[in-house]
Amino acid sequence: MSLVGCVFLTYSIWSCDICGGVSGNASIGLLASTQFHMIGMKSNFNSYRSYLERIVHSRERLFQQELTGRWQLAPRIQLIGSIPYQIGMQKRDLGTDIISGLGDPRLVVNYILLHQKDDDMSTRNFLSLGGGIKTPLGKKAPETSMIRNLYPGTGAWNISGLLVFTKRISHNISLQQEGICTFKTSDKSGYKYGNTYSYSASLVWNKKVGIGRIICGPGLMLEYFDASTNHGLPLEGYNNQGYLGEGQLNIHYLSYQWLWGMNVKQPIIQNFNEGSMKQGPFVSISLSYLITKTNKNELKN
Amino acid sequence: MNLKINISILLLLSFVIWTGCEKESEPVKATLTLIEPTAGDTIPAGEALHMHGTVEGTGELHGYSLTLTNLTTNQLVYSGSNDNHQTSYAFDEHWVNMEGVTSSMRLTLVVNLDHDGTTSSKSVDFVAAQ
Repeated sequence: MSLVGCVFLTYSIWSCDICGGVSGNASIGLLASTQFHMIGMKSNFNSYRSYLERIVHSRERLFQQELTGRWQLAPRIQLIGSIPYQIGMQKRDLGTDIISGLGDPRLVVNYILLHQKDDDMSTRNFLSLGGGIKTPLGKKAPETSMIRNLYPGTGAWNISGLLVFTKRISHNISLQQEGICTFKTSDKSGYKYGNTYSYSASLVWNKKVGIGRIICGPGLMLEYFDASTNHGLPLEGYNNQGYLGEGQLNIHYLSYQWLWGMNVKQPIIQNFNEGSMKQGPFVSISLSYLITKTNKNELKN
Repeated sequence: MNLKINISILLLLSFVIWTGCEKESEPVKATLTLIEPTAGDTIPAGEALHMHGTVEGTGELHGYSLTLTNLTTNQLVYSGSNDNHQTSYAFDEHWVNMEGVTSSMRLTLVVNLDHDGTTSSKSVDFVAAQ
């Protein structure tokens, strides 16, 4: 199987909801068109600033360490899971809060609907449909908490649908598009983060370098966050509704049995809570061990 | 020699004219806004009081403090301060009403306008219910 035109997938199904449903990245990673199993670690860092009357009154920083895995159940079915541990810090003028603990575990099943290859066995068209759940097993905020967004778990289920389409447009460049809808349930207190919708497009370029292959994917991502509700009623005041447009860059390096990755996102346009909250850059690095019987052949070409 | 004396006199005159023309710096003023709570609010037992507000100065401010006092028992139940020098501040703090008895409460915001003890303050009274 050739890696030219390989499919580059990165799903975002965040568990903690500082923006009404983002944060906590689950990735099925690279190489959806291969038969690799993977197990790895991933570190994420993200920051936010909150404003009152256009004056900064708090800064939030989130660090997340994830144990990630992917298992190829059948030629067309992949199972992807992750368990995050999160440290969240909110620094205000008059105090600091730090909340840490296990986040909500996530599981995604990805089914490959279409996988067309060229004569050289490179992927020409790839289409997959996935379904994911986030289970409310992580540390969640008490009902009276005023810093709910800082907790690693939401206390509610998320159900996601994921559609990915990749088309090879030249010898070593592909265009990948993905759409994700995440629907959220209420927690026990009746609080519900709004549903989220995202679309991203990336150009994926890959080239053999040294003993492995480098894969780069610059692109754009758009996300929309519905308003949070309490017992079905809109929240008073700020309700986490908003949108975000980001530029992103993925860089991966694949050697025989290791996959190193980095993902950087920089907000370009955004409007959360009527402009009262702004997201900063997002940085993620990962290292995965590949389990395959024919890994050496994968890197030829 | 004469040239040096002339230059010195010119420099001295320039300094005298410059300092004479300098305006006395205006004292810094601050606008204090308490967004929440509002006067007369009642906070039910077990619920959180939102303390939201801003301070905007005409120049550099020298910190501020926020205190919450139970006027019924005359006890200080919350205090916080910030010593950073900035031209504006915003705060967003919370306090949960666990007073046990219905009490008159006062939230006081005090801003330091200089380091000589000049301050500006604002208060709001409300009720913490049982």
